[in-house]
Amino acid sequence: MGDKKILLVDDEDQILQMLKEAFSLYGYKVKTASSAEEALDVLAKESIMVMFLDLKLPGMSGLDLCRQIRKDNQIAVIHALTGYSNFFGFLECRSAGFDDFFTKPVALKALFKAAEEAFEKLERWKVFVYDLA
Amino acid sequence: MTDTKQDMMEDKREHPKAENLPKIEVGCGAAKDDDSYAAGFKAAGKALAGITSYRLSAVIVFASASYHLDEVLSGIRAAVGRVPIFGASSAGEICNGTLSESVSVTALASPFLSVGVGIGKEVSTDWRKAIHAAIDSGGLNRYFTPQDGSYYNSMTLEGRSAFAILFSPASTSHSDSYSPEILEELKRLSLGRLLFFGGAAVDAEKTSGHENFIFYNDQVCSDSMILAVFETTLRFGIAMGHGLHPTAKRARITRVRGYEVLELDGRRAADVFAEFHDLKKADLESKPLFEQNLNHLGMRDALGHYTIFTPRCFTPEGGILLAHPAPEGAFLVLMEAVEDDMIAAGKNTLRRAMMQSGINRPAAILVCSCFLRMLLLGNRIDEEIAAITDIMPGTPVTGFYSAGEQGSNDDHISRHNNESIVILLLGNELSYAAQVAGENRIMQRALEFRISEQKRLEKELADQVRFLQTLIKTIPSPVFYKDQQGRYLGCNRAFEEYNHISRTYLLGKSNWDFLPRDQAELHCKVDADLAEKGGKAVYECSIAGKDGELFHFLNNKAVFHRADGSLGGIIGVLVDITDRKNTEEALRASEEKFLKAFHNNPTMMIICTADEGRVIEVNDSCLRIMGFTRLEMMGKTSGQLNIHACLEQRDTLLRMMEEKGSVRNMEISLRTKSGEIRHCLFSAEQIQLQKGNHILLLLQDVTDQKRSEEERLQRIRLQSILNMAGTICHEFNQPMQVLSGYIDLLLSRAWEDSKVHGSLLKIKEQTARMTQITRKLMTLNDPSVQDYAGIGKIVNLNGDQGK
Repeated sequence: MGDKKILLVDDEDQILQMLKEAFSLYGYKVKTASSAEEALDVLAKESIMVMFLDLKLPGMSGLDLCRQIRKDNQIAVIHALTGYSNFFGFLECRSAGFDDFFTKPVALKALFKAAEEAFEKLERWKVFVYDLA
Repeated sequence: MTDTKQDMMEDKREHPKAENLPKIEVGCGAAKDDDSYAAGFKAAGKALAGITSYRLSAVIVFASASYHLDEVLSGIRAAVGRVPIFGASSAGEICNGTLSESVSVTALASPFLSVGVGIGKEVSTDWRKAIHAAIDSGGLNRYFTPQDGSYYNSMTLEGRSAFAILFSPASTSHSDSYSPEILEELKRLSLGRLLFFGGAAVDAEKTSGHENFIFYNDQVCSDSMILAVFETTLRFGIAMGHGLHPTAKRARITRVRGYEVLELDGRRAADVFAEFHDLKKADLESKPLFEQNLNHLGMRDALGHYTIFTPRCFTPEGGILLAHPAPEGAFLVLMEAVEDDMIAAGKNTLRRAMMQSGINRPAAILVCSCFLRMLLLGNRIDEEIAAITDIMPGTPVTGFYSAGEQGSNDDHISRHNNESIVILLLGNELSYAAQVAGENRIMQRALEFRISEQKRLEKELADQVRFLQTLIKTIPSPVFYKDQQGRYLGCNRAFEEYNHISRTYLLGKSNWDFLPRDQAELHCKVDADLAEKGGKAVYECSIAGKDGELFHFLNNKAVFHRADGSLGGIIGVLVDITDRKNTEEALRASEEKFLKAFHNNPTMMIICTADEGRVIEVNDSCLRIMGFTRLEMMGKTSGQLNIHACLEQRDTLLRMMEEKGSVRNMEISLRTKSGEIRHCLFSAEQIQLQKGNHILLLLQDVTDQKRSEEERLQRIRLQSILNMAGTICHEFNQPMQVLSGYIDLLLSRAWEDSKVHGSLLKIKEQTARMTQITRKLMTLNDPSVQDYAGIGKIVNLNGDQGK
């Protein structure tokens, strides 16, 4: 298995910086994007299988972004990270293809655990890179 | 004729109901005076004393020629005024006794008596001319037209009869009297229908004087005659007598020339007459024969009465000149006078006049007595009049002593006579003919009245019939009438048209002949009830039109009766109520429609009086929602029903109604019978019902809408709060995430510095608390607020109270 790559998508730069620093400390290779379009650009260039997406994004929303990613990649483990949600939001997220759902503020320990479990799943599935072709 | 029948009528009109008044009033008076005027005036005055009730009809005057007669007449005229006056100069006057050198006035006054008086002059010159002058001047032609008796017939029809008084001149020293000729001519001209009474005027010297006079109003005329015709409905009688007796001496007139009897029994008449008296002719030639106290001659008439022929003188031819002509071949009888019989002649004559006329109530006795009787009776002359007065006491006796008299006997033939007494008796009673004519007149008037009344009634009846026929014909409603058996007697055109039946066909038919059975039965039942109970009946019936359209009628029927009160039949008038029925049906349908719309309308509706607000109608919705029964609401006011939850609202409503007359969609709260408050939109409008002001109230119950609206607002409010909370959470959680992340990173690095580590843990703890707050905010579902320290309200995030 190669680098454990994580994509963080949030329009709040402070949050991106903090999470990048935290995940980097635990040995993850972190890619960040501040919008859905930027995130799709990143994913077009490289295969990243674990993602944390903010729902509220400028332009395309986190839900649409997830749907878009799921069109090509049904394997990746994609987590929603939102400042506000409710039960209906949770249902929406599941429907859009999110694997898990975290409401801000969330303890880093929970995020690390989620990342770890994601990579454990990928390990078990033996799928590390999704064929971009 | 000066007084006319009209005058009679006028007098009757003056005393129309004078049942007890006499039919005639007669007054007589006599006077002697050196002053002629005074004598006339006094005598007239006495005569007028007897006249109290009626206007004078005529005044008859007898006066001695020794007076200044024109002055006498002036005196009389002054007393009696405008009334015909006539009379004659006299040898003596009679006024309830025998007088001489006097003025005697007789006044007659009666509405049943009219007098025409004419004068003829120069009688000795041409007595015929004088007669016609008298007839003409008196307007008496109708009595003296022998070729035309129509006036007498009309008199007879009206119960009137007539007599004439004739005063003609007696002979004078130089002229003969033509009284007999005048009488005979008048008899001829009047066809013998007039009875004559009268005598010849004489002067103071009897017949030997120069002239005598008659009186005609204010004229004193000599050698003249007066003819007065009295037309009357009173009873009267005329009789003549003398009291002389025939002797056995008699002779036939064998030769005569007018008044002159030339021979008797073929001998000279003068000789025979002298022999009758056992005298020589020469002894009698010296003076007038009638002055020599000789017996007179008489001639027997058919009734055995003797007419007296007074011998006046012998003629040169040895004849005798008589006072009036005697016919050749007749016998002249020498008459002798017995004084007592002569005195009784007056009363006997009066009796005959009474018997002839049937008078029971005498009014006056007029007497003409021959002056020769004065000579014969001498100083017993008074007894003649006294005998008359004895048998008829109290009845005025007036007249004069004349020289030749006219009168009639029981044969009703007027004759001239000499040495006679003639009586005209006037009765104070109507003649039988007058009574019959009077009754006839009354009956005729009654009959005329009844006939005219009947004609008037017939005309009225004809007019009414015509009017009714026109009315029935013209009236647009069908009219019919039928007999007791229900057979049609007639109908109008409208009836024919509605029933499509001709009148000709209808007559005699009954309803069964042209109406459907059910209708005929209905009509017959009503007719039978009417015939039994009488009165009127009104009921509805219908007739099918040609095109099948049904006409509805109100049939008004009543019985009619014949003149004798028996039932005549039934009359009916049909009033077309088809339009009315259709309108009623439309109205009923319309009413039903509106009634259903009213009661089934979900909007509550109330109609109440404008003045008191009492409920007069309420719909079912209102009853259902408000919980009252109709009975509970009817007639009540809102105050009595206590339905206004807010009295201020009620006052506002009343004020608005008063100011604007209507209210639109005002929200009010009403209390139902059970006390539940219902919110309603209130509208009101003034309406006119049955000429009264009313208010129509519409109440729309909006309680449920109001409640759901409030819930909707609550939801919107909650959603807003939730949205706001989400926003706050989102915005709050971003920095919280940064804070939380960095604290976790710092804790992982500063574990060896326990002081820093402790502080970071406290920050983490507070951050976790803040996270809890945002978590509660995100799950908020009850936006209810609670008091915050008495200065405001805050949402309870904990779901508990008072924390």
